Amino acid sequence: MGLRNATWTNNTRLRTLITDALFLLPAFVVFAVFFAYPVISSFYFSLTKWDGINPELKFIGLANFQKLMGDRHFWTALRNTFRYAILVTVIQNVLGLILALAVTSKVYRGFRVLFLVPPLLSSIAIGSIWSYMYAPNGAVNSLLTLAGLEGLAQDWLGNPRLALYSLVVANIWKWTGMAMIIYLAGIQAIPKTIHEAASIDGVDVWQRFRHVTFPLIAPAFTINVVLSMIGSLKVFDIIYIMTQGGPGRATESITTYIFSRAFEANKFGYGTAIAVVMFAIILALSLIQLHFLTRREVRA
Amino acid sequence: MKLRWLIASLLVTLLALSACAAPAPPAAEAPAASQEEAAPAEEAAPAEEAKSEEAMEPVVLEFYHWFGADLGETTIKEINDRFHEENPNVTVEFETADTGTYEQVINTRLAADDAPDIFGVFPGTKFHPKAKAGFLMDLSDQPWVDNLLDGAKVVALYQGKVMTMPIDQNVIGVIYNKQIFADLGLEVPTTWDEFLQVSEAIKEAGIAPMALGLKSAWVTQLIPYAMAPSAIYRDMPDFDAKMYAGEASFVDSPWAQMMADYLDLRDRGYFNDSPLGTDYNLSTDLMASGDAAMLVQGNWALASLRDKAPDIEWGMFPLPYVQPGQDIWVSAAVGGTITISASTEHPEEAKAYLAFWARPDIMELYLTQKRAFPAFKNLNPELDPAAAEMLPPLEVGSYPFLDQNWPPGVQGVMLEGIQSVFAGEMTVEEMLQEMDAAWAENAE
Repeated sequence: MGLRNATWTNNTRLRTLITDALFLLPAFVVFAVFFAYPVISSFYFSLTKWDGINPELKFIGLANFQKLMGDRHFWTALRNTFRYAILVTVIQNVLGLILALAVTSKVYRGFRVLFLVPPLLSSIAIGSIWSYMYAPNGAVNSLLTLAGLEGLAQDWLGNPRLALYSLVVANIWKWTGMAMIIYLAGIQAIPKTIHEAASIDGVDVWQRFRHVTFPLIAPAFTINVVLSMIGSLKVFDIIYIMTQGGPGRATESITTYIFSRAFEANKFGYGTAIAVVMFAIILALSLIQLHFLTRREVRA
Repeated sequence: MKLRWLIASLLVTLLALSACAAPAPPAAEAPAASQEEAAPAEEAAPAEEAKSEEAMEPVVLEFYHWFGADLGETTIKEINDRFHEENPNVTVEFETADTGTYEQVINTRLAADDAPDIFGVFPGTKFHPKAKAGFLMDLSDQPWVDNLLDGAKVVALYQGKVMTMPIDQNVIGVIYNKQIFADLGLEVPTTWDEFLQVSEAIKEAGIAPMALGLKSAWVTQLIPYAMAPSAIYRDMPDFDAKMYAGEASFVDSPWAQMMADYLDLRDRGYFNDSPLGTDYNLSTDLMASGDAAMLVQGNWALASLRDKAPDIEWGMFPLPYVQPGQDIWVSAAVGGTITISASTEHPEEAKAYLAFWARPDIMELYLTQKRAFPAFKNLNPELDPAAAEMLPPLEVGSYPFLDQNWPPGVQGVMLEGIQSVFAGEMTVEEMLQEMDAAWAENAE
């Protein structure tokens, strides 16, 4: 039996190996079939001319990307997307942090659940609600008129100079609660002892936030900024429901442009080429953000 | 430890890759089924004949169409139930999507080899890519083909073959509130100048002359569509042919004047406030509440108007985009069609189902509910009284909705262009240039 000891360990090793592999398998298959395969095949589609229906694909190399460079509607969409993403990321995080600090106090604790309701609603419902509120005779304008501010009443979604910002507001309304809850988790993870020590040192409220709370919730800050940036760069549902990219192209984002190219103009090859570019942009931005933001994270 | 994980993940990758490699063709169905289905794309007879022998076996036909939102629960269900009564072994399962998303869903399903047995396609050039790819069954030999109206048949043809069955026609005109016209002592206008005078009189009475919902992109095209038959096609019936031949362009066509007059209506204040922020639904609200007097729309809007304001007496007249003495041509076209998938497993049952639809009693039932004009000869559906007012003008002359003869892709550019022009982000000239470019790019 002693002789076989080596084989025995080898056998167990192999067996654990297979067991490990089997445990990994289901998740990996799902990942490969529903994520990796489509992503990789879309790289291929971006090199073709395809109408989305015909079984035959025509390989055209990098022609789609070449065309993209000269497509001014693509640049409009890109500019709109960045404007949207930057505004959403900044405002959503500031508001989310303020709300999180507010609901930490016992007085406003009950509001936590309330602020979490919008993220739970579907974007379609929220888009419809906000569309009604923004309508020329909708709730927003009615409230303004009621308050004697008729002068401020606007065609919120019909005015090309306002429409994008109206969408930003709806987006922030939906997702700020989510940012809040992540910040709240970060705040609650700070050990009481640190706050006590700070009190003994005699800090005021602002100093405590500036030197204790804010540095210690850096991980929450990182994840929130990255998530809201990625989320708003990929925004589709709210825009599609509320303006479909209009009026004209005033609220066209990269995703609505991809959709209109691929599904409305039947140019799947071109649509996927835009998607590939968007993928590259988001990947690069996320890596840069992660690099800089994780550097400033400290441990309690 | 590290090495073990590396080997484990490599093993998993290999397993996953070999699992992926097998279903490489789009369908993830059982291998036997996909082999069988590959053949019928080119009309494999034997397999299908074998199936029709067991005709009394229960058969389920999947029917996918966009008209369900208004009619699915009522009219379509009744038609399907009646068909089931007469053909007890066949059950039709109806599914629907709204017009906006329908085309995307059906395209995806066709590309994924998941075609419904029976489905709707949009008339004219829009369905040509599907016919070209071999997804549609040739229906030229069907008994109902001879009963189609000529104008309806044209938009069902691909390379001379009838590929789909037109079921209804729609007209675009000016729907108006007869009470407002009577109160102000106004007559139905028959020239563009009279139309402007009528609008001015309504505006002076403090009512919006016209409701316009430009936020819904498809609404933007209706006024040009109503103008074009009189402005272009009455005198230049070969305009589209010249466009295909590269001998004409939008920029140098009456389109420039049409768009200028469209904007002129806005500048004179003849539309409701902020048309760009108003959608189709809201525009019908304005009509129903009496805040607007006229609405350039298809006859389909009457259903929703009667729903919202059952007490208002509605009328309809053709948009008089003409000088005195000229004929007004109407924009009228096939709205919906039904076709059969080339790869259906039940071709006989599907053809019987289409023939059932083409039967006069069923057609009249459908058209009466839909308040639409017939695509078949010798039918007398109960038309909406307002829509019926369009029948005499239709005799004068009509032309299909413009995009039905256009290459795909031009319409989308036009819809965005009109919004941009109204938003002041683009000039009419730029918009027409983009439409010309889209035509050149997409015409084959």
